[in-house]
This record gives sequence, structure tokens and C-alpha cells, in this order.
Amino acid sequence: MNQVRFSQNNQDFLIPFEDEQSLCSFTDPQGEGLRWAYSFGALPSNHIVIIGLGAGFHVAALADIHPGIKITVIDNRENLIPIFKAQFADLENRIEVLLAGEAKDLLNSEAYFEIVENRSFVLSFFECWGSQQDILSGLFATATGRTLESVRFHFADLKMDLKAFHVKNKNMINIIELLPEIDSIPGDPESKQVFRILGELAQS
Amino acid sequence: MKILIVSLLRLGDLIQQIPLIKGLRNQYPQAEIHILINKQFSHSNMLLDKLVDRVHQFDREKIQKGIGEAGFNILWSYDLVKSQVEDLKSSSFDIVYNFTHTKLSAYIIGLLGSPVKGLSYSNSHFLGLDNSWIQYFNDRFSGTEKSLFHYVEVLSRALDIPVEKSCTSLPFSSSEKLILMQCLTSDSKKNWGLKRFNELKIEIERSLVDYKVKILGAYFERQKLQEYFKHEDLLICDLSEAQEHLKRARLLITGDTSIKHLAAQMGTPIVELVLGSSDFNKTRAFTDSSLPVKAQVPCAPCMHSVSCPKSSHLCADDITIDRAFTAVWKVLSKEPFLRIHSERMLLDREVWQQYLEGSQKSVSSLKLTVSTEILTSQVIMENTLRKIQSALSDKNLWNKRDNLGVNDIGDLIICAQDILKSDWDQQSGYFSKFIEALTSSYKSTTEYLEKIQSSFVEASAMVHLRRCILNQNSQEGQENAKRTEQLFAEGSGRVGTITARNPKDAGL
Repeated sequence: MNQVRFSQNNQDFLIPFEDEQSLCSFTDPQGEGLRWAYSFGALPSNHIVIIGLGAGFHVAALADIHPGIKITVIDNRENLIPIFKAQFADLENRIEVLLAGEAKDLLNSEAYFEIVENRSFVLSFFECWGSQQDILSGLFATATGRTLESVRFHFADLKMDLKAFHVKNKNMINIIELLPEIDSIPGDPESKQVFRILGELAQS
Repeated sequence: MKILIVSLLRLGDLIQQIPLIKGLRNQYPQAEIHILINKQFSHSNMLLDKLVDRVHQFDREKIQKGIGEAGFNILWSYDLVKSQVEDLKSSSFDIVYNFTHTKLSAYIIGLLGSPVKGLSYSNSHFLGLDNSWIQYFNDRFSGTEKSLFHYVEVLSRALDIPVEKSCTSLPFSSSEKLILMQCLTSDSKKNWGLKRFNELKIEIERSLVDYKVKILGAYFERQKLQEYFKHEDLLICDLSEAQEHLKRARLLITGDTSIKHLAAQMGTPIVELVLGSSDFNKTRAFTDSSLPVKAQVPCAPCMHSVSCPKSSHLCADDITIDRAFTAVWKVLSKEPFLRIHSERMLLDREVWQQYLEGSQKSVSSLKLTVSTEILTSQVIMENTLRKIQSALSDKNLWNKRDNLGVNDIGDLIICAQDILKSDWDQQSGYFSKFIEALTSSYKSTTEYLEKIQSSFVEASAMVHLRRCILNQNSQEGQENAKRTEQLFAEGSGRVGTITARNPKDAGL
């Protein structure tokens, strides 16, 4: 993994760099974070997962705009966490930061059960992904329940056993790809009928 | 008693269904009536005032967003649908009426566990299709197939809800002489064109100097309308304001729009421009105060949701400013509205109605002027039946059922080709199931032949019923029948064009 180093900007904030590239705006990280946070409008869930911590200005902005929601941030770069905690000490009890080097770490975490249960909405702040795009996009797909492993977790929650199924796209599975599988496995007929409704809505 | 109406189509369909909702309210004045509509049409709630007690909104767009956008949890939309279903289920409806007739609505209704009128889905089966009117609806309203009955009529019969057409309630005492135009529709194929509407406006105001023409439009249509009309001529408004404008208007000129259906409910006379995928017989304004100006081109009505493949908009070109103005003049000068159904159509409607209701009365109350055209069509149908019967009674056909080739069904294909090439069955559709059976795939040849046989039995029953109604209708009719049969025997007349063909020439 590439080394992340920090540089102080003219507002005395520490801005992280990876491969000589800053992980947020160097001159106006707060403004950038606010613009990002406002771009989503009303959020569809009370639990938001953000993939990518970076300098954390976007996380702070989202927490500020939506004081009632729970926020979990996931990143694979350990050295970003102490700087975030130091720069946003007031958010310590508000934001849960989870270190996950790969999808397996996320799936084995307690936070993941909460993600499945809450059907958490997942956001990403691409500007802070730096050179970690492959790992972080994998974590994004896992957090939304769109990888082979994470789909199984979600369907186990519905008491549906999706042990053996085949989909073309193994990284960002769409519910539509699963519909034929869902129809063929044992499960609650009412739950299956809800999936048929989703199938119709996906077509129209 | 608690009733749920499920109406998950578009705004125009919802407005069209108002006579059905009124009918249901009249049937059950004390009932608590709920309705489930798409959330995007929640602004139409004012139309449902006093008719329903509660409006449930189905947030289709939100659910679709949850399915399509990556950030949403894979089960987020599932939960949303599940909670909506639970909410509806908790109301424990005594009966659910499905006004929608789609798989989506059938799946939702199947989860509610209440008795259903209309289509539903339960235990891996679609239910309700045993209702012959629902079957008719299914056969005729899912594509470009013709229908003898209006959308509201079919639903009314399928769901046992008596409906009444709205009456004209013109503001003739008012000094204002206002004509409204709704120029834009939801589908460009159904648009007559803003330039033509503008020319018609100029023509009306030049010829009928005491009338003012105003242009109705939604907020998002303003910019487009301003390209052809002055700002002061526009009435940019929402649905409830449009309702107020329609109340004081003497006439609405429109294509196939939700405003047309709203005007029908308000009793405003309508000049209806029928073009594109708009099918007058199926979804005209449900009122007797509408005068259609129909495009007479072979490609109309065309398929919904498919763009026009022609190099020019033939159906729009076919409706000239003169034709539209003549219709406007007829309505304003209070000429009686023409009867919508021809004599032949009245007869075919009577046949289908009796057949679908299984009543097959011995005496029909229908009074017809039996024309040669009607009798000719009867003789053609009877001859076609004879040919099909003769082909089906060929023992070889049934003996060879394990190895049936195209040549073996050559006679049947020729019959089908004759039916399709001519237009005598297009509207009535007595033989449509026969054509469908002949051109469909089945698991086995036996099933294939049985389907053809049963479609033949159905067509025979209806053609026989038609003959009975014709014979009973007038003595004159019987004499005409003899005359026409004679014409056939002599091989002359229009019907004489059907000549014997070699089955080997038949090709699917």
C-alpha cells in the first residue's frame, strides 16, 4: 500500500496525500465537503455508510447537515484515522470509523450486521479514494449487498438460502439478476411475490 | 364494508376510471372506500374528493430508484414494498377491485389476502382470467387489437360496476365564449402539431369573432407553447385550475390527453383529434358530447411506446385545418353528436355481449337496420366457418398429429390468410382466437389442434348467435340474407373475390 502523508494548508488543516495526489481539496476542503453533502438532498436511510475517509471534511459536513443520522465510515488506510479523530474531536461519539483491508473484514465485523439490518444507504467520496479504487469499490459493493458473499448475508436475513447461484456481474449484482434464482429456491412465498413486484418495476 | 381500488396506471387512466369509482360509490354508499394510486399523481386527489375515503400512494419512482441506483442496499426496495403491502394488509379489506390489470397490480393484490374482483396472483397462478370480460380485456387491450367496447365499459362489465356517462353541462348562460385547446399530449405521435393548432385558432377567431381561444398547458409545457402562442393566450395551470377553466369553456379541442378525460367528467363538449396510438373505440372521451376527427390512414392506430417509423406524420397530415374547423362548428352550432357505433358495430357488440355473459338470449332487444354490408359479412363468416370445419374434419389431420407439416394445415392457413387480408373481422374479432391458435406454438401437436378446434367452436357459436339476432331482428333481414346467399351462389358481388386456392400455396 502506498504511504499517505499529510501537509498543512493555509487554514491549518492537515490534508492527506497519496501518490502525490491530495485526497481532498487543498485550499477549500470544508467547502468541497459541504457541496458533496448537500448534493444528496434528503437521505433514504437513518444509517449512512461512507466509503472513503480521506481527510474527513465530507464526513463532518454530512454529520452537520443531518444531525439525526448514524454514520459509519469505512476505509482501508489506518493512518487516516488518528488525523481525522484529532481534527474532528467533537465527532468522536458520532462517527464510527471501521478499518477494513478487504471485503472479508467488513463481512466479519459487527457493523455489517447493522448494515444488513438497517438496509443502510452507502455513499462514496471518490476524491478521497486515491490509489485505493479497487479495494474501496469492492467495499462499496459489499456494503450495499451487491457481491456474491454479501448477497448471501442479506438473503439469510430473509431466511432464503442463496448458496449456489450464478450471476454475470459478480461485483455489482443487481436484484434483477437474482430474480430467477429467488424463484427457484425454497422460501417464504410472500417474500418471493415481493421480488416479483420488484421485477415488474424494474422492467417498466 | 372496506373496499380497496387499485389503480396504478397513468393520470389519464385514473381520470377515465372516475365513472367506475362513482359507480362503486353508488353501489356501496356506506362503504369505506380506499384507493391505491401512483404517488406521482397525488395532485389528482381533488378529483377523488367525496368518492373515496382514503388515498394510498404507491411510490413507484422511489422503489425504482432503489432498484437502479448503486448506493441503495440490495434489499432497500424490497423493504419499501413489503412495508407498503403490510400497511394495506392491516386495513383488512372486504374486497379489492383491480382497475389496473397488470402483473404488478396482480402481485400486489395477491399479497393482501382479501377477496378480489379482477386480476390477482396467488399460489403461482393468475386468478380472475376465468371472467370472460377480463379475458376480453386481456385479449384486446394489451396491444393494437381492436375492441368493440370502451375501456370503461369493459371494466364495468368485468367488475360488475354499473357506470353512467357524464352529461353535458354547458355554461351557456355565461356571456364568455371560451374555447380551450390542449395541444400537447404525452406522446409525440398523438400530437397534431402546434403549428396546426395555431392555424386552427386563427381560423376560429377569424370566423367566429365573438369566441376567444385559449391554450391550456402544464407548467413544463410553457416554453414549447410560447414558440407558437402569445403569452396572454396561454392558460398555464395545474389539474385543479384546468378543471375550473373547463367548467366555463364551451368547447375543448384536444388530442388523446388526460385533460380530454377530465373534460368528459366536467361535461365540457369535446372535439377529439384521433391520431397516433390513440384508439377511439377503446379510450375516447367517455361521454356522448365528444365529436371525433379521426385520421384515416392504414397505420393508425399504431402501437404505444414505439416511435413512428414513417418519414412524415401521416395521421396528423390527414386531419386538415378544415376538417377540424368543421367539427368545431358542428359542436358550437349544437348539431346533434353523431352515433358512435355503426349498425354493424351495434350488432357485433350485442353478439359479443351475449356471448361473454353467457346469456345468449333467444330474443335480442336490439333494433337494427339490416344492411347488405351486414348480411354480406355474415355470409362471409359462415362460408369461412364451413371451410375451417371441412379442414378440421379431415381425418388425416388428426391421424398425422405426431408428424404434422405445414402442407397438412394448408387449408386452415388459407382461411387465416383470407381473414387477415380482408377487413371484415378486424373490428369484431370473432376469428382472432383461431388466428392466434393457428400461429402459436404449443407443447404438442394434439394441443395445437385442440386449440384450433376450440377457437373454431367459439367462432361458430358467435357467428350462429349473430345469425339468430339478424334473423330475429327483421323479416326484411331474412329476405336480404337469401338475396345475398344467392349472390354468393352466383359467384358475383364483392364477396365473389374469395375463390378456391391450392393449399400447397399456403405459407405461414
